[in-house]
Amino acid sequence: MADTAAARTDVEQQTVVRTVDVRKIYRMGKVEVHALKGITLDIQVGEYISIMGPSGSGKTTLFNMVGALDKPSSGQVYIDEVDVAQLDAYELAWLRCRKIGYIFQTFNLIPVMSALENVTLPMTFAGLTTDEARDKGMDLLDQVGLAERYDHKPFELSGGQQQRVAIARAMANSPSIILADEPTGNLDLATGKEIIQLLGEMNAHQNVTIITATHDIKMLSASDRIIWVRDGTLAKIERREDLDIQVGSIEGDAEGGVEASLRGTEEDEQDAG
Amino acid sequence: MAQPGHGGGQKIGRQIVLPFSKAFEIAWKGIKIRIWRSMITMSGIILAIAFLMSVWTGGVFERALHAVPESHPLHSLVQGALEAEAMAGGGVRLHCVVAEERAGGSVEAITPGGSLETFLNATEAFRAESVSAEAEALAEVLDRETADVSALILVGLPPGLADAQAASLLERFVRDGGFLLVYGAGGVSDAAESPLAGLLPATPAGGVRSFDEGSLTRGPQAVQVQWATHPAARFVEARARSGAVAMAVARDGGDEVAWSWDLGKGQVAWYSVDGASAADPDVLSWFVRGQGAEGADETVQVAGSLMNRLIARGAGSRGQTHDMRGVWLVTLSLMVCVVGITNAMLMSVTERFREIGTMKCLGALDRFVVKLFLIESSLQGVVGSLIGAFIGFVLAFLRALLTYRVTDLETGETFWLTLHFFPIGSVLVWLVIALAVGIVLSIVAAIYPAIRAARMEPVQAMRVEA
Repeated sequence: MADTAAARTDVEQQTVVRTVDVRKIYRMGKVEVHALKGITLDIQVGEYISIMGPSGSGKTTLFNMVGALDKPSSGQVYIDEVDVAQLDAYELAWLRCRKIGYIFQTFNLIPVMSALENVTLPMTFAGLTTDEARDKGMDLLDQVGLAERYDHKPFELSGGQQQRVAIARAMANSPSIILADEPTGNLDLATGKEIIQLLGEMNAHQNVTIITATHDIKMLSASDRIIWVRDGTLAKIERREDLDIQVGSIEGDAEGGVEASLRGTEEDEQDAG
Repeated sequence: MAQPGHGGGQKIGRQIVLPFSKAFEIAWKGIKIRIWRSMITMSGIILAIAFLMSVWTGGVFERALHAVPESHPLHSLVQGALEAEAMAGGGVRLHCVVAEERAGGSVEAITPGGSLETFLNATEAFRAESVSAEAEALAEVLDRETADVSALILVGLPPGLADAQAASLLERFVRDGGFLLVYGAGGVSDAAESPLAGLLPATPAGGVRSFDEGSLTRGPQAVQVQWATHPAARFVEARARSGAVAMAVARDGGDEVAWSWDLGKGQVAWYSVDGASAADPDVLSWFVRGQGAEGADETVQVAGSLMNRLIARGAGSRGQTHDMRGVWLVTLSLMVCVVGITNAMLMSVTERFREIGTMKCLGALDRFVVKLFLIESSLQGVVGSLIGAFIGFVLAFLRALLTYRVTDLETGETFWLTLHFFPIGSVLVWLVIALAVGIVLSIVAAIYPAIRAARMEPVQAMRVEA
C-alpha cells in the first residue's frame, strides 16, 4: 500500500475533485438544518480517500456533493474542473455513467439481472454493443474473481460476492472516480477485508481515484488520506502515514485503534496473527 | 460510438438516448422475474377486459341468431328461442284485459278460472285483470292504464258493446300502439254476410282456400267465424286496412285457422297452424303447435303463444335501454381498472426506489426510466387483455350456448343454436378491440407513475432504510 504514494510522485498531480466553500442547507418546515457549513478540499487523481465521521456529521451530504448526486446550496463542486451545478440532465447522466462509478452499502444490484448483465448495464448506457460489453464484463468479473458465477442472479450470491459484482460494475466504463458509500457496512469482518483489499487493488493498478464514506476503521489502512467531518465542517485531514497504524493491529483491538487515531499518538501493537 | 475511455482526460459529454429495444429488453426481464407481482396489476386488466368482452360478445351471439334467414330450416326454432329469451329478459310488462262473452248474450266480467285460468298461467308475463266487459268498465281500464295495456284480447265479440264507444276505444287503443287480438270461437255462417267479406279472397262457395294447399292436410270445409255485425269487427277491419296489426283466430272443427291482415296491403293471408307464409314478413307468421291439450285450453294456449311472440317483438325494440346501461357499466369498470393499475404501479415505483436510483447512477436518462415503466405496463396490458378477453368470450359463449338451446317438440331433437350459427368474424373483431382497449388503458394508467419514477433522485439509491 505504501508503494502507491511513492509511485505517484513522478506522475503529475492532478485535481480530480475540488470543492470550494460548499454549503448545504435543508429546510424541514420552518427549521433550517445546516448540513454542510463551508467545506473546501481537493482530491488528487489516484488517491484513496476515506471520509469519516459520526452519524449526522454531514459526511453523507459531503459525499453526495462530491459524487454529483446533489447540488450545494452555495459554493462549487468541480469534477475535472467542471462545475457540477452547471450541468444539464444529459451531461449529469453522462458524468455518472462514464466518469464516476458507484458502490453502495446495500449493493444495489438489479435483482432481475444476472451478474454479467449487471456489470454490462452501464456499458449499455454508454452505448457499447452487446458483444463488446459481454467481453469486457467477463473480464471485469474475472478480475474480481467471480467469472464462474456470471449467470447467477443477485439472490444467488452472498453479500461479499454481490459487492464484488458491484465493484466490477463500478469499473465498467473505466471511470476516473469510484464513489463507495459504506461498502463494507453490510458485510462481516473477513468479507469486508476482502472488499477493501479489492478496492485497494483497483486503486493501485488502474489508478482510479477512490472516495469512500465509511465508519469502518479497517478502511483506514487502505486510504491515502482520511477526511474527518464533524458537525458539517472539516475536523481534520490526515494522511495515512501520520496515523501509523500497522495492518495487523486493527484486528486485535478495533476500539483501541480508533482511539489511537483520534488522539494521534503512535501505537505499537502486536500482530494478532 | 464514443469509446468509453478513462474519464479523466475527457471533458463532459452528453449521454446518448438509448434505442427503444434496450428499454424493452430490460423491461421484459423485469416482468419475467416479477411475474407474481405483475399478476396483481394484471388482474385488474383481466377483470375489466373480461367484463367488456362478455358484454360485447353476448350481443354478438344474439345478433347472429337474429340474422338467420327465414329460408334456413332451423329458422322457426331460432325465432322461438329468441322470443323466449326476450320474454325471460323481462322489461316488458303486459297488461292483458280479457273480455269474454258468456252464453246468453250477456257479457260478464272475466274471472280467472277454467280456460282463462290456463291462459293466464301459461304466460307469466301477463298481469291480467278481470273487468266487466261493459263498455264503461273497459273504457275505464283503458283510460286508467293506457300505457300499461299493451295488448287487448277480445275473446269473442261481446255483442252488448255499443257501437261508437267500442269503436272509439279500440281505435284509440290501437293508435297508441296496442295490439288487438280478437279471438272468436265458432263459425261463420256465410262469408258474404261477414263484415270481413270484402277482405276475404274469393273462395269456392262455403269453402276456404289455403295458400299452401299441400300444408293444410285436413282442409276445413267450412270456416265458421262468429262475427256479428259488431263494431269491433268493423273496426278491426278498418284498422287492418290502414296498417295496424290485427288478427282473428277461429276454430273450425279441430283446426285452427287464422286470418291476418297484412300491413297496409289489404291482403289476406291464410295460415294454417302447420305452416308459415314467407310473403308477409310484417305480420306474425308463426304459430306454435298447440301444446297437447284438447278443447278450449288448446285454443287459449294458441292465443297465449301468439301474445308471446308479440311481446318478444315489442321487447326487441325496448332493447335500446339495455344497451345504454351496458355502456355505462363497461365504462365504469374500465375507469376502476385504470385507477387500480395506477395505484399498483405507484406502489411498485415506491418499492423500487433503490433500483431506479441506481439506474440513474449508472447513467440512465429520465426518459429511459419512463420508457421502462410504460413498456412494463403495456406488456402487462397485452397479457392481461389476452387472458381477460378469452375469459370474457368463454363466459359469454357458455351463457349463449345454454340460453339458445331449443328442443323441437315434434322430433324431440335438441339444438344448440349458438354452435350452429357461430359468428366467428364478429368475435374476432371484438377480440382485437378488447386487446387494443386493454393496452391503451395500461399505458394511460402508467403515465403518472412513470413520471414519478423518472423524477426520482439518484441519491435515493443511497438510502439504507426503505
